[in-house]
Amino acid sequence: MSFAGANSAEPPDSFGEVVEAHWTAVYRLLYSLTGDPHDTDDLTQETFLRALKRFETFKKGTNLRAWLLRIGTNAFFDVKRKQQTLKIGPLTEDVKSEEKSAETLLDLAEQGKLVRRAVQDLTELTRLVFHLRVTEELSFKEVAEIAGVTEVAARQHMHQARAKLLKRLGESSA
Amino acid sequence: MNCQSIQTWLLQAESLRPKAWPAAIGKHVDGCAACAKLVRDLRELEDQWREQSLPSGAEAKSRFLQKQAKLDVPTSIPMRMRPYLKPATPWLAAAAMSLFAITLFAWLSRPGPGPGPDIKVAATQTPDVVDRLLEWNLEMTNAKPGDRKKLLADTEDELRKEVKKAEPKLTPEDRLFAEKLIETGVSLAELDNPLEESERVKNVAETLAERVEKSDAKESTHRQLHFYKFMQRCVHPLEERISKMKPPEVKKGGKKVGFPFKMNPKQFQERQNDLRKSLDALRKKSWGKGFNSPHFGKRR
Repeated sequence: MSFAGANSAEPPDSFGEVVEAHWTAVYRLLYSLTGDPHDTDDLTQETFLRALKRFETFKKGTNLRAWLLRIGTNAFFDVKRKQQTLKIGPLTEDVKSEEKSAETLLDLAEQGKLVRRAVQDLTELTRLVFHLRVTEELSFKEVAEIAGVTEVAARQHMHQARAKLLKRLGESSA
Repeated sequence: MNCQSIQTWLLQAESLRPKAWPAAIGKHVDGCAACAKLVRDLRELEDQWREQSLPSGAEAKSRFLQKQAKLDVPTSIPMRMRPYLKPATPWLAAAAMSLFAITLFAWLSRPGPGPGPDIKVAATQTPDVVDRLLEWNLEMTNAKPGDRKKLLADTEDELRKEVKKAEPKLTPEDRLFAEKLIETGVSLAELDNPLEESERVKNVAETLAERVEKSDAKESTHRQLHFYKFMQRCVHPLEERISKMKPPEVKKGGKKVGFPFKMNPKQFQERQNDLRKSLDALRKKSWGKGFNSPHFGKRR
């Protein structure tokens, strides 16, 4: 779809627009799961390729971002299941920030490191639920659909995540 | 309700905003130091997770988009052949094909200059002036500060003429927005301070977000796309530039080093933080919306 000149409420028919709008969200989810920028690059590309192939199965009237995050989650667990070359390790700490400067946010960065380390100790499913709820602000119903669990289970994972993280961070700062 | 049950409830609450809680929970938290501390700690924890520095994978995205363009895959929402479009019988299809072939032959062999008039009509259609102005603002923001003046000189007059021509057809809201876009574009040519630029750009982004809020179903998709495009191509790159700016170093004798702007470190930091917060709020707004068009999803 061309933006210029289009003056009706037509849908964007370019998949590029979808990529532009949702790439970062998918990338960040996968980064929080893998902790490795290279694996995240591959998995994000895989996610959007899958989405492109299945675009006609996307149900109009539902949440596109949630649909993409679900594909990304499935791609992650598929790769993990097949035990391919994916390295699950602690989130890289020396990744250059693309949004914040370490000089001006030194304290925040230190805190951020602690939180990242603590989050990395959670199980993947708990980490997934925590990330989707906190970063994407999805409802537990949507989180449950993406994670493939019940809504009650999603709440329990959130309970675990919050309790463990607070405990861990409390110990670190003591 | 005791503290333990309240805290269990809070640990699995969907929202940490008191407005979203049952009244009894809110009342208890207000009067209980331990539960109030838990809420504060949880909010802080979640803010830290949201605020953490993470890569956005911009390079991988560019590679993906390039690959996609090379593959030339059909990226439009596929239209399956609908049952009512299928020919009822083979002879009907054959007849239709023959009729089409005859018509095409007759049209191609007619005397005269050919399909010129139709093409001219398409080429001289009036462009949507708001789209053009928005695109122009994006070009201005993405141009190097040194190139902006030239871009402005090349385009400003023509754009102003277009706005004047389109004015009778514009709604008052669109007219004001068009003026704002021209004003922003002109001011961008004068500025080379990302903090000042961001103020201007932030104003446009906020207006775009307001336009989305106000839009009816017919306008909604188009306006959301404006907002997304602006966030992706204008606000996010500026956010990055701001975050990379270092505060001025002040050497002995009060001289500022390596910083061309008239601000002291404290002012700079305050301004940078304020802007970051507003841009972050806008970013969250765009995330929250998703593609909420009738085709891509509904408002959450």
